[in-house]
This record gives sequence, C-alpha cells and structure tokens, in this order.
Amino acid sequence: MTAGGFVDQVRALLAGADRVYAGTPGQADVAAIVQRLDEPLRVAIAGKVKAGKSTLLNALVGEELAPTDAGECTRLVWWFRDGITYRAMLHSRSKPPRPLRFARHDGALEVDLDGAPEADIERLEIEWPSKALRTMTLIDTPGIASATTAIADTAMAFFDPEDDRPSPADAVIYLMRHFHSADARFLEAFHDEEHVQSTPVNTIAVLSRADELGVARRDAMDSAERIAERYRADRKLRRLCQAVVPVAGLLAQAAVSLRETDFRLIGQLQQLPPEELDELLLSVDRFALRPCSISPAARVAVLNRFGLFGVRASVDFVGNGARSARQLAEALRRHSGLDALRGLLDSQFAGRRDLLKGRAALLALDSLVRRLPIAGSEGIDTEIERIRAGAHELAEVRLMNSLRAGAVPLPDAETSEAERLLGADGTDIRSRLGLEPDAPDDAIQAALARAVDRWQRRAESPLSPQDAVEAALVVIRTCEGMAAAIAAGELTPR
Amino acid sequence: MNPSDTMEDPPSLHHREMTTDGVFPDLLSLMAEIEQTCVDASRPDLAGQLSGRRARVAEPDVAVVVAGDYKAGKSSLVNALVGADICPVDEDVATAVPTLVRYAPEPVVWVRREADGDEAAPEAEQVPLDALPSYASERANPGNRERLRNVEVGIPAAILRDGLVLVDTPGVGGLVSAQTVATLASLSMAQAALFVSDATQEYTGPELEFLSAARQVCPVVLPVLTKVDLAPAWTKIRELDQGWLERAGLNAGIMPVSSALSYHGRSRRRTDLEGESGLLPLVDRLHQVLHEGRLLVAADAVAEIHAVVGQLAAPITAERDALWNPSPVIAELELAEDRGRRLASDSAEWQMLLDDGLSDLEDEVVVDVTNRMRIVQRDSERTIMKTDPAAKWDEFEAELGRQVSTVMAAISSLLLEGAQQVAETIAEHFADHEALIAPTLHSRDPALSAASILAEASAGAGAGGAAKVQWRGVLLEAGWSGLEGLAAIGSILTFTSISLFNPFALAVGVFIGGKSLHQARSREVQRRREQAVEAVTRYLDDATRATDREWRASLRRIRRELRRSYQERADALHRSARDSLAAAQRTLVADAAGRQARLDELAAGLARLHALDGRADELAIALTAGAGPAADPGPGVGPGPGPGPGPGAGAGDTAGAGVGDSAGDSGVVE
Repeated sequence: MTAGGFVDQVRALLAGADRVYAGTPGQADVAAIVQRLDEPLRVAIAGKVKAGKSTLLNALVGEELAPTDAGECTRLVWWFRDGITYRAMLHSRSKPPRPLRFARHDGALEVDLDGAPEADIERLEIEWPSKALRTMTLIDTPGIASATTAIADTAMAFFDPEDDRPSPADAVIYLMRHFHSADARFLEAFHDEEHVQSTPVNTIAVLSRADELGVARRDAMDSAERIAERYRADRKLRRLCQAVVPVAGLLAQAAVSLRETDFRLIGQLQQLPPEELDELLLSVDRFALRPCSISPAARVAVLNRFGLFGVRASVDFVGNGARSARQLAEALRRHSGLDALRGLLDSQFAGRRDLLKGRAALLALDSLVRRLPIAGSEGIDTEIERIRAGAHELAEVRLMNSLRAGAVPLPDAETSEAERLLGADGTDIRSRLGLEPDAPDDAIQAALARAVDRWQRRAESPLSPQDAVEAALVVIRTCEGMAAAIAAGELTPR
Repeated sequence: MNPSDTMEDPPSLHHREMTTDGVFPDLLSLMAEIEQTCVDASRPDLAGQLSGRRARVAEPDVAVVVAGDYKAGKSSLVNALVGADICPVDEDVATAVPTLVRYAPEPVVWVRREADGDEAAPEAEQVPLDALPSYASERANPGNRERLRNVEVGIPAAILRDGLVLVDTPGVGGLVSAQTVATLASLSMAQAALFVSDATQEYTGPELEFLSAARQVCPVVLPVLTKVDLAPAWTKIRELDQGWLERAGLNAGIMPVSSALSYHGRSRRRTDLEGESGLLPLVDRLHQVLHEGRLLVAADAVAEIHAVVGQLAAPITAERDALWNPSPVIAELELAEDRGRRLASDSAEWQMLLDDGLSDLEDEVVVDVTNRMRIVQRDSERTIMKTDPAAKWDEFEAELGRQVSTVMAAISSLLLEGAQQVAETIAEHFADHEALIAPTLHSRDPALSAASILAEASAGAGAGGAAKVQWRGVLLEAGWSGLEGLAAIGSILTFTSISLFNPFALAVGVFIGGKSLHQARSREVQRRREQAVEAVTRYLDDATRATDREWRASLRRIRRELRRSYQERADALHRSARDSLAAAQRTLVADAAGRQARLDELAAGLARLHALDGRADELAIALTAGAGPAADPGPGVGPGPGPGPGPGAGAGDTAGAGVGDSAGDSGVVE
C-alpha cells in the first residue's frame, strides 16, 4: 500500500522539469521542490492566538524549546528541524539566510534577531538534533485572530501565500479551544486550493487546552473527549479535517519536562492534610500565596509549568500510586492525550508521507508552471494533469473529500466503510478492514474478499447512481491494492 | 437544580440598601396623588400621561446584558451573581437563547417563541423550572431549532429585587454572526453591558471588534475577567487586556472574578471564599448601574410631574390674573389658545416635522439598504469567481446569510437612531409651546432643574438624558419587535437552489473525450459559477424584499406611535389652553363681593399644586444627593478597589433628613 508508483511518477516529472527550466530563474524553484520532496514531512501547528501551539510543539519535541508566555508570544514563523548541530538561521525576505546567536533561558530558546525588522523576517529556522524531529519538521506559527493585525497577517500569509504559491506546509495540526467561525475561516483558507488539492487528508484538529474546557475539574479530560466526539460528527468539521482529538498541552509539556524536584514537591503536597490541600487547590492565588509548609517560590514554579489542573492531576496520580518521577510523567502524558495525537500523526501523516509529499510537489510545480511559463512548460502541465487523473492515490483523496462532504449518494454505513477502507481510521491493512490489530491473516483475507464482493455489487447494481458507481470503483481498486500488498508479503503480523 | 437550597445567600453580598431606596415609595405615592388630583380636576388625559411613568418607576427593569465570546463563563457569572444555578452551564457551548433573569417571589420560567412569518409574536408560555436547560442550552436546543426568541426566568434573588434584569446571551464569535447582531440589538436597550472574557488568554481580534461595536450602542460597558481561580497568570492577562482597552479608548477598570470560588463559598457557606471571588466589587458596580437606571426613570417621572402640574395650574393662574387685570391677560390667553388649537390640529407644525423627518429617514434607509446589498452582491461574486462554488457551497451560503444579517442589523440601528432624532426634534418643538401655554410652576433654568441634574447624574443616560429615556421607551415598544424580527430573517430565508450543485458531478468530466481533465473542469466550474451568481442574485432580491417589508412595517409602527403619543400631548395642551381661557373669561361675570373669596380659593388651589411640585423637586434632590458619589467615576469606569457603601450612605443621610422636614410644610410661596 505504498504510494511508490505515484511518487516515482512525480520524481520523473521533476527531473523533466529540471531540464526544461535549466538555466532559467525557475531552476532554483525546481531544485527546491525536489529538495522538499526528500525532506521530512513539514507539519505546521496552527490555531487562534493562545490556543497552545508552542506548548504542544514543546510536548511533541519533548523539550521546552519554543518560548511560551501568558500573553501572546509567538510573533514569527519558527521552523524546528532535525540537524547535525544546534543552529538558528534567519530567513528574511530581502537578504540571504544568515546564522543568529541564541541562548536558552529556562530551556526556552532566546534568539538574538540582530536588529532584523520583524516585518522582513520570513522565518526563523532552528536546527536541533532530536529524534522527534527526524520524521517531521515542526512549524510553529503566530495566532490567527490575533488582536495585533500584523501578527494575524503573518499567520495567514504563511498558510495562504500570495500569487497562488502553495503553502510551505505539507500537513497541519490545527489547534482550537472550541470550534469558532474564525477557525472555520482559517481551515477553509488552508483548503482554498482548487480541485484535487482541497482535502481533509492533511489536517488533524486538536481540541487544545482541553483541561480548561472542564474548568480544570478532575474529570476535565472526559468532558473534553465528549466535546471532541461531538466535533467528529460535525459535518462542517468533517469536511475540513480528518480527526479531532483533545490534548491538554500544558499537561503534556509537564510530562516531558518533569524533574525529580517536581515529583518531590508533588509528593509533599500529597502528604498535606486533605483539608489543607483542598484549601490550597481551590484557586491559583491560594495555591501560590496561602501560608503552608512548602515554599511559595517552589509552588509558583510548579504552578506555572503544570497549571492548576496539572497540579491537581499530579497530586491524584501520586495518591493513586505513582512511585517515581518517571511513573508520574507517564501517567500525565497518557492523561494529556498526547499519545493519541502521536498515534494519529504516525498513522495519518507519517503513514501517508509519500502521498502528502507527492501532492505538495505537484502543487508547487503546477504553481511554477503558471507563474513562469516558458517553452516546454506546457508539456509539464499536461503531464501534471495526466498524473492527477491517473494516480489512484489522488483518486482516493478526491473520493475521501466527496465522502466527507456528504456528496456521494451512499447509505451512511457504506459511506463510513468506504472512508475506513481509504484509511480514515489508520492506513495499515487491519485498520482499513476494521479488524483488531492482532487479527490473523486468514481473517484479513476473508474480510478483504467480502469487501471486494460488496463493492463490486454496488458498482454493478443498476440502481446505483453514477456517483456511487464511481466511488465503488475507486474503493475496489483500493482493495485490489491491499490484496497486492498482501501477496507481496507486506503484511507483517503485529 | 433545587433553587430553594441555594438561594439563601448572605444578604451582605447580594443586596445593597441604597440610601435613596426610601425615596422611590415617596415618589410613587406622590405620583398617585397627582394622578388623583388630575382626575378630580376632570383631566384624565393628564392622569394617563403620569400613570405610564408611575408603572416604570415601580418596575424599572434595568437591563444589564452579559456578553462575550463562547465559553467565557457568562452563564456561570450570572449564576454566581444571583446565587443560584439558574443558567445551564456546560463544558460545551452552552447558551442557545438569550435568557432574561429577573426578580420573582417564586421561581418561574417563561419561554417566548419567534413569530411565524407576518403573524404577531405568540404569547409567552410558562414551563416548569427544571425544563429550563431543555430550552436554553445548546445541547438540548442546538442552534435554537425550537426558534425561541428568549427565555425569561424569575427567581427570588436579592440582587434582582430592585429591578435589575440580567440577560445571559449566547456567545458571539466576532462581528459576522447572526448571534452578534441579536446581542448588539439587545445591548441598544440595556443600561449597561458586562463584557466577559476569561483570564486564560488576552483579548482576541474578534473580541475587540465586538467590544468597539458594543460601545457604540451601549453607553456603559464594564469589562469582567472570569476564571481567575484557574489562570496562574491572570494578573498579567489583566494588564494586557487593560492595555487593549486603553488603546481602544475605553477607560474602564477590568473586574477580575471567579464564579467557581463564589460557588464554593455559597455551597460551603464560607464568606472568605465569597470575598476572594472578587464578586463584591462587581455587585457594587451593578447596584450603581441599577441605581443610575432607576434615577433615569425617576428623572423622567419628575419632569413629567412638572409638566402635568404646570398644566393643572395654568387655568387657575389664568383666572387669578384675569381677576386682577382681565383684558391683557385674556388677549394673551386667546393667543395661547389659538396656539394650542393649531398644535392639536392636523396641520400642526410638529406633524410636518414628523412627516418630513420620517420620510427623510425612509429615503436614507432605502439608499442604505441598496448600497449595502450591492456591496454584499459584489463581494459574493468576487468570492464565487475565485473558487469553485460546488466545493464549499454550504459555508458560502452560511457566510452570505451572516452578511445579510449584518446588513439588517445596521439598518435596524439606523432606523432606531433616526427615529430617535426625529422624536427629539419634536420634543424640543413641544417644549417651546409648553413653556407658553402651561409653564411649569417654578421657573427653572432647564439645565439646573433637579430633573436634569438627576438625569446627568445617572451616567447611563449619555447624551440626551431624560429625553432619550422617554423616547427610547416609545420607540422600542413601537419598533422593537419589528427590529428584532429584522435580525432574525437571515436565518429564515434559505436557499432553494443548493441541489443544483452536486460536487461529485465533477467526476463526469473524466469521460469527456479529448479534453484534458483540467480544461473540462474549468468549463464546468465556469458554468457552476454562473449558476451561483444567479442564485446569489435571487437570494439577495428575496432578502431585500423581506427586509423592505420588515423595516417599512417598523417605520409605520414608529410613525403611528410617535403621532399618537404627541397627539395626546398636543390635545392635553390644547385642553389646558382652552380651560385657561375659559377660566379667565369667567371672571368677567363674577361680582365684586365674590372676587376676594374666589381669589382666596384660587390661591389655596395653587398652593396645593405648588406643594406637589415642590415635593417632586425635593424628591429629585434627595435622589441626586444619593447619586452624588455614584456619578463621580463617570461612565464606564470600574469601581477600582470598590466604592463601598460608605460615601453614598453619608451623603444620602444628611440630604434625606433635610428633605423630610421641608416636604411636610408645603411652603406656600405666594
């Protein structure tokens, strides 16, 4: 089930484009497209101001790298990519890239912009040797709907660049505190690419600061999950993103940065008489200021990093048997929803890497051909069209869009089955067939055969509307792909 | 929900005795007395002018709208303020319908549905208390599919006892939602707004947009910062927000509150938590707002008392003056009577002012509607040409609906403001006639009259003072239902042409031979764009027609109400002028012996009226004295550390004592 064929076609096309544009201003563009095709996936973290983008980025990297603050903090576009050494590069609009000095303050990066005017800065690129960045380059973006217009504009310009250039991001994690008209407008803008490009396939929505949705009550994450559940069923959101998961970013960040001293402090808190602890945990001001045997400075420090919900949850976990900093960190991470998000990133983004990369390359090439038409470039155009029309992977994406938009006249059960077969619940064969992760091979064969049979009948039924027949044909081809993969021995039992 | 368990809140927190509270019963009894005097003098028309105002003094209904973004904690705040879990609070978007919370001796819930088409709005229906969430919450009534106009809850909460009405609203997501339109509309009749934002993040762009729109329609906007119990950096956020307010030109202190601490304080009966909740200063501020609202109503009432007493006194004064020196007085009164007759006739100048003013307004609205709709049309066409209409038709449709709603909101506020201006022009015109036909008893510099001072003292009045309050009442009664209807049509009109656009029809393009897929698609898209533009044009035509129907109906109602109300005043004035003339002419036949006796009678009558008029002034002064410290911070300024009951109490006490004495001996100032 790899998209090897598709990416190979794109590569061949790029090689041809390189020849066509050789010696012209377009050559650098082609080189950039080729380079991007081979890079790790570029995943941008987007969302309204103070949605918790930098906090989530830190949790995903596993280090407190991006600066966070109570006020609006991220004013520039920050790229974090894996590297051999630690390095900060300034990419400005008017000058060639140059290195910048940086320091770390409480873990967070402090970059000396060296007098560069903010308006001229295209991005700050941080190279950071990190396992977490090896498969994905993470991009932190300023908040949309910021009260500071210039910041909001920076964000929009990144996702929806001028002159029809495609966005630098291959995929997006969209953070929202609740689904808002500003969120919808943004997601639409990001999908505002004509025809095949518009797709929920490369967008995952995160219900961020999930702990606050339930006003930091102990069952706050359950409430957040219920809300996410409702959003998953929301027709408008389904069209714009493929999944919605709740994540308590601060909790996740606390988990990855938990130190032994934190654990000891939580332990001390947990040892306090229950009434005193209760009084302390009623509000942030009480927690920080109320006289108690633990020093206020230590309390404030842990409060700022964990949040009130984080402190409450940590005390509960220690009370319920977390015996070490490691165990506590693990409990916090699980509770934060970060694992679920990572799982989604693996199956939906990393699992579709070739497809997402190939699509992005086609888009970039298409834009180049339109911007700089020269002798021979119509040939590229035709070839782009041919790949678009022929690649089954793109047909799958188109079908997914239509299914998500509710535009295919199929019964609900069949619509969700088609989505699942196309990889909505995970791109491995068992997930596609709706089987347990440990399902034996013969169960897989049987399920696949049943699916093919069902969709064959749908395709051949004289009662099926033409749209449904088209959809069935795509699904059948997807099933055939799975069968081929199994035959090629790609099915490795878990 | 069991309100009887939760409503025993510490009275110190939720109810303030204002030093001026005692003045209102006196004002009510004075008004009743004067009404009786009117009836005794065979002037039921004048009694009618007063009784409407007396009802408003008795039940002032000072509305404070609680507005803000989704999930900012509006409902929790309302609950904390009334000390009971009335408004449904949910982790998910909660409030679906505006919920009015007002005082009632027993808990009660009313729901009011939207009118269907052109019919009058249906009567409110009473529902059980525990059914409230199934109407007001988003979960039970998603997108307000029950089509409720509002829900009204009556509860015996101390803070509401003096007429405060809290209006909990659904969250506004920026400026372009129909909900925002409705909330802004409700703000235009509110005394004040609580602008609620939570402490977990600083103001966003859409929040600031809403704030500046809110300030246009509501003179007092009080920023409240919620959830300070769970945001470690709330002081920092407050600082940042305060900066935004200053840059927006709003000089108001942000009040930090924690509804959660208040809840714990209430359920654990712990006053320390209540104190920490930060609700006390807000409650103080609301009492001040309420007080200002009541003062405004009182100021209007006192002004009306002066006018009515002046008309009662006019015939007496005329007869007395005629007894001394008949001919010049009668000549003058004849002129006045002529003036009164003209004022009451169909060709009166004010009728012209009204007709001209409203037809100018009509022209203005027509142009405005046309221009705004044209802009919507142009922008929509632009959007259609940039995208494939099939791809995101329902979003487009929703956005178009929002834009049309925004147009309607703009039109309703234009209509309301324009009508108010016309009303004020006529009011000035009338004031000249009143001064001639039936001058008030004590000649006052209008700017120095107790009523004006009172109106000034109540910051909520803004420009226009009592006159504005007076006309707001009339206009809203006349126009409100229509204006509210205007804002609602956006959601009623629906597309019928959606089925034209079947996105999956795209796949057919694959089978068009010889053409590349891209070209085939482009042609398809072009065709769909044309269809989309047609559909938009049709929709906007329908919307314009519906809008026209609604605002014209509103304008008719406004015209009718203004005409009726001023005709009554004109008739009353004419009657006073006629009575005065008749009284003066009677003196011609009076014999010399009876003359002195008659003069004594008249003096006694006048003295009585003077006494009534003087009492109104004294009550106004008593109210003003109580309002002194309240007026100090100026419009929209938060109490900072809290004004406390101290200064108000002191000033009120002394003033009150002085008034009490002089009110008794009805100074005969002949």
